[in-house]
Amino acid sequence: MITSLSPELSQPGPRPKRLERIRVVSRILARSCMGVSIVLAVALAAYWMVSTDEAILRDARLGGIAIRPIGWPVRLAGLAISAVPLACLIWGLLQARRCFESFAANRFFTPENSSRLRGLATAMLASAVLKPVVGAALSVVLSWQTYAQGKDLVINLSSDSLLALLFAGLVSVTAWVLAEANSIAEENAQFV
Amino acid sequence: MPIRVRLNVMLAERNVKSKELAEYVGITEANLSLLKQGKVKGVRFDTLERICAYLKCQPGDLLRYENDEPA
Repeated sequence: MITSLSPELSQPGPRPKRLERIRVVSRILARSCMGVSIVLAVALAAYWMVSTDEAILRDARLGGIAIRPIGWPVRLAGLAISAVPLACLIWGLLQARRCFESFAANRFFTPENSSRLRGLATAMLASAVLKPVVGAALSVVLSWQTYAQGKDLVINLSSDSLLALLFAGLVSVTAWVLAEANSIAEENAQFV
Repeated sequence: MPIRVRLNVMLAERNVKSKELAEYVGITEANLSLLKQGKVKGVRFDTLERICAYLKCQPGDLLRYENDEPA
């Protein structure tokens, strides 16, 4: 039976400067994740509350002449629809925040951290996949009562979405690598 | 595992206490105890070197290969 060792020789030697740098940057990034999550949520709500009809239609890639203004029910529906990918992204950012908090507390190779990174990758993937779907749904909702000619369906695939998919893949693989590093660190901890 | 740690025997033969050896090697008594019981996955060369230096012995005196499986 292999028993866990006390930490004096089971951990690598001290690398104070690098560790301190990781701690400081991680603390900043943890706060940034929280800040960005709040800003994104507030900005989305503000966008649907205060943006002009023209700006909303232009952002939804809807051309033509609107015959009716965008009413509050449509704005609220737009907010609810566009909140779906944002909610995924915010969930991912909160996972990243917890991961950074863990790094700031000197906990690097833990199963929790790799699972949080996987959570971030999943959230990014979901957000990237949902983006064109949400864009299409928004175009239908916005054009429903606004346009005389009826409903418009706009499908928009941008390079941003493709890059986000690639980035999600990168984070996902990094999470697997971290899990592998975790098992190596565990094995290393069994050496005296 | 067929590798047996004979640190206990060597300590008894040299009349050395675990505490003294642990202090010299730079590991805790708890870890030295785990090493004595063979409950570790491996021994670092520098740990082995310091144990050998203190006990004035060879690595082979501390470790034995004993194949318990029937041939």
